[in-house]
Amino acid sequence: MQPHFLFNSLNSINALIGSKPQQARTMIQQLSDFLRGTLKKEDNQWLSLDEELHQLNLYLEIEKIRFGHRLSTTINNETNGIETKLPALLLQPVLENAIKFGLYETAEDITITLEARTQNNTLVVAITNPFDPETSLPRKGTGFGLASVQRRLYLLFSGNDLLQTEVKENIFITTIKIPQQ
Amino acid sequence: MKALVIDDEPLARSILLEYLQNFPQIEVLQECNDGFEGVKAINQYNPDFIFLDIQMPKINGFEVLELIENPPAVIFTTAFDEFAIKVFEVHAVDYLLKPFSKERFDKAIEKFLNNSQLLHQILHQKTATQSLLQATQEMPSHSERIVVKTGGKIKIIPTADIKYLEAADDYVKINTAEGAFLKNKTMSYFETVLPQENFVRTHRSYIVNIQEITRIDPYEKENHLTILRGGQRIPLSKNGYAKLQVVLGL
Repeated sequence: MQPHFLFNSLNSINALIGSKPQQARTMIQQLSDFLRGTLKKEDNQWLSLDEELHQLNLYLEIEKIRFGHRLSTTINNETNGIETKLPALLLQPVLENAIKFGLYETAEDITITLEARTQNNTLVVAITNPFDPETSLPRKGTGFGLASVQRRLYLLFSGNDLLQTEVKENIFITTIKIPQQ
Repeated sequence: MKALVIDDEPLARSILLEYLQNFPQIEVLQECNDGFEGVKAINQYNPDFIFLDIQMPKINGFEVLELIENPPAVIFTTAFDEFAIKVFEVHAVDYLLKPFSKERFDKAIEKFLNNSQLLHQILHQKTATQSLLQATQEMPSHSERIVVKTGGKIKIIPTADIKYLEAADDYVKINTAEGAFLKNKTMSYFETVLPQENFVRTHRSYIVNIQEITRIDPYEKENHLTILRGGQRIPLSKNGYAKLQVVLGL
């Protein structure tokens, strides 16, 4: 987790205490649940997709309070009840990346999407974010600093092609494949 | 007293406005959502001071100040860590580390009100501004892009798009595929700011993006010329040649 995220969230709570105390309480609860979720996880722990999505959702809800109406999110779980698992907090840095380039570095209203499906005994998760081509050009290779996620996937599954990125106009798409046992 | 609030988070702006209610002598003329709006509003209103966030879309807080000829007094509001804070701790402007208390806020404002005359003088001696500009060099994002003003508009140049730089009197001419842009800075400033693995000062008056080099040709007796992809012939001093050899692994 980025320390900026924590301190800026606390700053938002401080503002809400004066103007909307009820919402401040809600945000404290969300932030606490999110922090607890990041603290109790071990690196080698696996979670169900639902658990991971719950954690990601807490994070997105907090960002929505911080950035008002600028952020909308669409989460589509199309695994149709098939039980899938993934390494704990694998998607968190991908989503943080999407937030950084999609939300922090643009000034417009934006949508971040997450889509999960299964394919050949593999869980496939695609996260999209818009970006501002004028200020943040996607770099070659994995682009947008996703190297640590790629490294983790390599260590877990010895595969080099489990994280892929592509750019369609001003949308950046990160796709992650998680082989299921 | 005229002030502006420049921050991309609505709640971060609202806490400032709430804390400011104790200071009726301070009037907030506008709330700005990003750096572009900030630059526009500063030029339009010429405020006495501004609250300025650092991490913002388009251009960051440091870059905002770089684009203003006579920056007003600044109170930074930021969640930045101690390291970044140290960079501008030396300046005659205050900073508020988010989240900040009402007491800390009041102190910053009172310090400004009591010293506004003094601050004004200091700011206009340019020393504070100069140190601020030095501070911008410490910003990691800064080495990835250069911000220039061209015909009243703000242009952001990713450093990868720069072909070469050329000294031009008090300015430096930044040559890109889209044309040339002037910036009122020194060659040594760019030498520090640009990523060193990609840019080499080949000559007192030239800095070259090594990705653009296609050939290095001997020139006259002991000298060399760098030939760029676009066909430009850039002088290479002895010293510059030595540096290029290291970077290119010749």
